[in-house]
Amino acid sequence: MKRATSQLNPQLGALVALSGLVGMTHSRLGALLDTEPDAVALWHLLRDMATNRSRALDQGRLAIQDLRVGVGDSTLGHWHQSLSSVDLSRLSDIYCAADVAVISQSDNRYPARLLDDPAAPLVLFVAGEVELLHSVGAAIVGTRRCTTYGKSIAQSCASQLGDAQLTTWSGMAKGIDTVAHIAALKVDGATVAVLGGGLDHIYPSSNRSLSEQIVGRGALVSERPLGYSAHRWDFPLRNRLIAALADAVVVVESGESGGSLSTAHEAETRGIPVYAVPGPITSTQSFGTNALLDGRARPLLTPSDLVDGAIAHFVAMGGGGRSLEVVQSVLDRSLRPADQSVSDSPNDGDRELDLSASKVLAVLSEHPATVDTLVQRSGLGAGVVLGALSRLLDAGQAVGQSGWWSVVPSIKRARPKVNTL
Amino acid sequence: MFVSVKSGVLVGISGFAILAEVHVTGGLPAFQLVGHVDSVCRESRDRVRAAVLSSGYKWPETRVTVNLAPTSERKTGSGVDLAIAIAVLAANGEISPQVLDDFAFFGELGLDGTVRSIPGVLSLVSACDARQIVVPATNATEASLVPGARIRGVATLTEVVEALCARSSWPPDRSAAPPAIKTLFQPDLAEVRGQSAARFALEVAAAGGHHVAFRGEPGAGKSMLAQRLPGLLDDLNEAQSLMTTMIHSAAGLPLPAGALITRPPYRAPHHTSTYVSLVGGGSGASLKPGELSLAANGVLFLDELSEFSPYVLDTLRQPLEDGVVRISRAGRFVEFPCDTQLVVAYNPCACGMYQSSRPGAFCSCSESTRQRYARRLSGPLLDRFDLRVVLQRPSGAELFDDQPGESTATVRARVTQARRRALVRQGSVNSRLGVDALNDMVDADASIGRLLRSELDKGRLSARGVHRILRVSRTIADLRDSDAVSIDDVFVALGLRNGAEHDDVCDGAA
Repeated sequence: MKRATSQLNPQLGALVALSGLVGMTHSRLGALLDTEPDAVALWHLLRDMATNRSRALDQGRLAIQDLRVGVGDSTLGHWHQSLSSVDLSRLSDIYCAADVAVISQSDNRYPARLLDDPAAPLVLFVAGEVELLHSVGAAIVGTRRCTTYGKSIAQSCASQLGDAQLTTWSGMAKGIDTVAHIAALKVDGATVAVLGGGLDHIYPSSNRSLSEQIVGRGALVSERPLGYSAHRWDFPLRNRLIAALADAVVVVESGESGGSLSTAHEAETRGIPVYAVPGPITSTQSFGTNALLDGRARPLLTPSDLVDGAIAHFVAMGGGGRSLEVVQSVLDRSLRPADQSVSDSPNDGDRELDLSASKVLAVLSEHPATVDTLVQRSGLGAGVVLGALSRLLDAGQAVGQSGWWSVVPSIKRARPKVNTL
Repeated sequence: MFVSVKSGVLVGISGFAILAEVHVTGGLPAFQLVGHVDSVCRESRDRVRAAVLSSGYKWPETRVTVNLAPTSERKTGSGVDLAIAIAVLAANGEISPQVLDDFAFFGELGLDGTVRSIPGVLSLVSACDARQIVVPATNATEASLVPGARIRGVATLTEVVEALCARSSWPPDRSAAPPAIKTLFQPDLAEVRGQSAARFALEVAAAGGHHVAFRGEPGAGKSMLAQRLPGLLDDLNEAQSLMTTMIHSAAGLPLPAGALITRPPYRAPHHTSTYVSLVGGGSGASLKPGELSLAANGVLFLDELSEFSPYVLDTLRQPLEDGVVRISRAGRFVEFPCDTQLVVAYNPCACGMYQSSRPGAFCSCSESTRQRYARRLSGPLLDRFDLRVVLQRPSGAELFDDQPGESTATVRARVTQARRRALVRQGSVNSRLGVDALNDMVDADASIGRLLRSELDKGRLSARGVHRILRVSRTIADLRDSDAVSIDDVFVALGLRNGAEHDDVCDGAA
């Protein structure tokens, strides 16, 4: 991809190097820059300080105690190592070769809605479509150990976002995240993975080929430079970035103390609509989401809620500082009747579902079921049910996994009506 | 004095006619056995001498040379003992050599002169052109399956010699002499509760000869179903019966009463099996058929497929495609037929609970364990299964409350009818249907082509998968007694593959 990656100026280069220090969070770096606004000078200072801690303190130029950055000796050791291994003059070449855009807050490619964020990263690293940073979309997050139910909901959420031409944000972790990215790619939708480490440190490694696909048709984003491998504490930071970039967040499945709950919390504090997918109260993977429903999140009743929520938030925020062009195109799309995307399936329009298929669909709508259950409930033969399921799969109305079949929640299907007393 | 006597040895599963030539001449007493013989065959010297002496006949006190001709083929086994003994006795003047021209002899000798049974009598007798064939009494029934020759079943060396010298008559036919193996426990399909999809898959598999893969949690009933497949198959025809009997006999397996195997064999080797035990082979001169060939015209069931060594499983690929195992060893080459129907069962992961949607079931495998487990079976092998069904454990209600499903007899009637349709139409089962016939099916109905194309484009089907789907569709059409394959049949065939196919696609990416 051709990108006008300008030469990194020394200030930006120093910022890149500084943001690659272990334990150098955006807030810590921000505080240091408040004291010493010159990043290059800060870099030199920290290097000296790491080499000889007492001398730097003696110089008194940096009141490190006042900053309460709480940097211990071992951290300083790490810093010294990484500061002296970085060659600022070669950074430009490295990022050019890796085709990674380095975007500072002064760059107009930096998403405007992040600028107002209390925890805005100082630098963003992006591989793939940089423009997607400005796009409108929703985050789909959830547990790594998801169930079939969670998978299927994540899939339909992502395909609906894709069909509505909204971006699917997620963290490319195992489980729900991965399913969401894949589903978005499948409907040719845009998807952005926000990583905890550098863009060259794909975690989990099994998602390496997925990351390549995302770079091809979406983007990878991180606030850490190349070569930085994520630590345990980097993932909550990554989660706040996902929340800050999305216009709505859905937690598909989460245990009592899942990382996706932190994404929900971050979104909540930013006033971004949070949805939780209701699950069985017996399922450990739904404990977290069900708890969220107790006043902290809206229930996701159909996957299209997510689309509606994202657009509503986007409108309420007045576009969130996006360009007029982006605002216009989103509004155009959301005003257009939505059913065009549904009838995309080539076999949907030209063939009515036969009797057995509609019978099976009716049974299936009540509850996901195995073929055996469907045979019992519908009173049809096993062969007929199998054929009907294939028809439904072909028409995009049902999905099967491990012998369990469920309906694909559709935009067309009306939300359940509840009479309020 | 020179005498030659007809006999034979086994090469793989086929008989190979040989001559036992004996030359008795003056000189120091000695007994030489030559003619490219292996160690088992060489031991024959000691057995033959002891048997002759114990039976009360004279052993030449001179130089005895035995040659098994032709020397080009390596000889193995103890089946030529009797022929050597007779030849020596004839050369020593005990029996008139002229009467031997009509005869061929097979049998192992005990030191006391008893004639013991040998493997592969059916093949040996088929390869032999003599008017009268002397075999161990315990193999007589098997030998009489070959039309033409007069079979003489004998129990001792004395019986043979006395009959040849016309001092007594041949012992009467003692058929059904082999210890009849117990009638195999025949499980009935009615015992399987629930699992309507898997039962249907089994019916289609039986009707079309398709390979089936069952995936599911432990206790879902995968093995139960597999054991009931042979019951759905029709009796073997004459050629199949002879072929299967020949293989079993050559492998030294017990044969049923009446010697002829008429029911499709069912083989279920343990997952620790080596590749030799599965595809055949062995050391030295004896190349034995493996489980794949023993299951020819029947069912080979591999339970716990993931526990088999991946190397062993990969050796199955080529034979399954070709229908024949070609074993090549230094200087030896044999072919074993292996036209078998493969049924496999495996768990989705080491603990078996992965992707189980039952409440309370949770996979305790780590991601890497699970992937390692899945990788053992990936790709080319699983692609050879036309039907891939995922089973879930039946619920308590299904297990105890439900009416029993259809019995084996009911389903078998439908299967037999569908099989006959296929045989009348194309002379083979549908799993062997050629590509031309498949293309005709697509040409006959444009909507089938459209559907398959869209499945291909969506990545739900591979090119190989398209052919497999069409073959299964043909079987489904046969089961409902129809000449034309309709789009509905194709949908059902897709349904029989989709359950597992889908996950594998997903897991590959996840």
